[in-house]
Amino acid sequence: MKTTKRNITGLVAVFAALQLTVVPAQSQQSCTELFDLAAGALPSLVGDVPTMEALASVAGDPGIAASMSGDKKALKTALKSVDGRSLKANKGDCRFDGRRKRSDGRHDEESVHCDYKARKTGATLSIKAAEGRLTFLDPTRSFQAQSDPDNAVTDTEAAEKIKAVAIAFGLDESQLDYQLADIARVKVASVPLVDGYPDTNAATVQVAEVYAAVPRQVQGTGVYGSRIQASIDHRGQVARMHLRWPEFRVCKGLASSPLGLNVLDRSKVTTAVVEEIGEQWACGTAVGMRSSIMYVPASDVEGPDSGTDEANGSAGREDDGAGGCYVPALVVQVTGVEPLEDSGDLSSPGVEYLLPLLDSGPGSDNG
Amino acid sequence: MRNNKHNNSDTRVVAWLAGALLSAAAAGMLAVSPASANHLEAKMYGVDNWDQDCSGNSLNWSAQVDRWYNEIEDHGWYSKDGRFVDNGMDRSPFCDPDAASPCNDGWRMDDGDAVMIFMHGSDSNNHWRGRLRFDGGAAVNDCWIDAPESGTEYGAGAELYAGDKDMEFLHFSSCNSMDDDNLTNSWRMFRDPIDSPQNGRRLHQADGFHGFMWIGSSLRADYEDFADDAFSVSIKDSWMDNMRRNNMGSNNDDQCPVAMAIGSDRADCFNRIDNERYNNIFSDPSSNGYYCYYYYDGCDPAGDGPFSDPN
Repeated sequence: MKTTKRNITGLVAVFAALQLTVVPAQSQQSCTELFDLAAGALPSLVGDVPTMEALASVAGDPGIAASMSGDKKALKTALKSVDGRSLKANKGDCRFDGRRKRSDGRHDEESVHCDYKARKTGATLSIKAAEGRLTFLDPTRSFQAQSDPDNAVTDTEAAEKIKAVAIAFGLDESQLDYQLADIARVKVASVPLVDGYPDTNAATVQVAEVYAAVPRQVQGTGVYGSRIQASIDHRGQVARMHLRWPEFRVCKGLASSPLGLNVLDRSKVTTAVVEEIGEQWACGTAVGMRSSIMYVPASDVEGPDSGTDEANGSAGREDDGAGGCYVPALVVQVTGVEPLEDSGDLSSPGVEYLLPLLDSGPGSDNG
Repeated sequence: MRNNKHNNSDTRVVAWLAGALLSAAAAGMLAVSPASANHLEAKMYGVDNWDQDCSGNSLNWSAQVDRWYNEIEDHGWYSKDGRFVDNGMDRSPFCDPDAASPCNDGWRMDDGDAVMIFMHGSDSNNHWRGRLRFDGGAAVNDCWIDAPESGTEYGAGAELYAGDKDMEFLHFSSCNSMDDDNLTNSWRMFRDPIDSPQNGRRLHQADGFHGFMWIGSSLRADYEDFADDAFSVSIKDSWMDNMRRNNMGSNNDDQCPVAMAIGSDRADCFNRIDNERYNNIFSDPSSNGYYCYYYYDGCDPAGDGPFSDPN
């Protein structure tokens, strides 16, 4: 069963028009064709002022997900969903630096950083609320190939599990983009070596875990780098879970500038894409391109003249955007020529580029 | 660049003891404090800019590997023992002197305990090879570091053998580094066919990708989480969880992590790959009687077909 490479035609049409334009991989191109590739991949709504205004004025979250907010009751509910009730935070393992209690009873999300541990199992729960990151790991649930049975969890069961966990952890269900969900099976193989050669006839293969991930969207537009993922063991329990779900808010001032939004027109965006990619890909080497409008952390998107951080080399900058605000931006994914199997020709990784769609004026607030 | 380095045998004894103690602790037998903190070495080697002897498109690759390198130090077990980017990236730091000359992996790559290498990759016959920045001069004239496959060993072309000096864990941030059809040969880089039978030293685990991998700012946190999680769960689990991606690029491609270990027998191989963590390091495999690997069934990346188990 194929659970990956979702068919784009399966997406809701209006969202597809908004989010995504795909240009199939081509085998040859000239430099002019790089321009054509970029122009052809540009979503139809790039440069459309009403669309950008709508994206810039979308309502944000009322706060960080409840499980990361310092709300003990919410965390208890969350832990129950992953059978992690034995997790405890020792004194000093949970920091509320500069704690500020809000009117809704939650603590300020910037202040919560907790590490919970279960002494008996070695399970851990780490919450970095300022970054919108939560990690649950239970090593006792990891597949033990020598002794555990095959994992028989079905796709449906995995989908139901991650949905239940997401809700229990306080995620807004309307932001779970099930259409782009990923469910996959992890298998393990073993092969004996006889006289220095694999005896593949004696190999074994087992189904170890089921992986499920759901990316985030806000009113039909994807949120770059934000998702929930879990690995489900043969008992149907969550063995490990990663949540990257920062508080979502669009940067202030985008829509409230006296001059309105300064929306970059399509030709400017296309030129920026070509310049950006042309710096790193020689003519004829970039052959596949997908461009999508997404909400991207403002700190990841530079102005139109400065390029993205891929180009200007902000090595190691820990700017996943969490704790900051988001802007609608263009996410461009580029792939190179795919060499023939076993050919020995060079392969290049796929590369993501982030480009602005708005020319942020002096009134913008990226903080 | 050899900070806080103990000699190799000391390191291995301490690491083994630490692993044994932690295994016991995991079984509820002992409580352990990391008394041997910071005694292990992490290294990163790779290329951002192919602007010298060897061609390739330049990318800001080190930005995401830095996240692994910074995080692995934060847990008190590993010191940063070398961040080698661009400078000196010819064949020498990666190749084994038994295989070619001049080669110096024993004092370079193989001197680390946990190492990540990043560079363009290639599926060459039945093995991975990595694209270097320098060709090593006229006498060497080689822009590739080649992992072994059957028929290329003993000086017949294979160059990369890991673990026969010190290394336990080798991570590839490189395309085609664990292609499905090459796995029947990938185990060969876990030992030096000449030295390992004599000194008993072998690589424990290698992690890489079937097909193309991806670079981008949203993937950087994956490298940090990989290092972070691998102190709490197995390195394999951490690699498989954090490096999986789907719906990438114009063909909705996957990013397909693969983790491989060797062991003296099947149980040993499984025990290693299922339980070794950055802070729970077993002694070196006493022999390579088995190899075992985890993969995503049917994972479909750019740069290769859907993962098909070669057995």
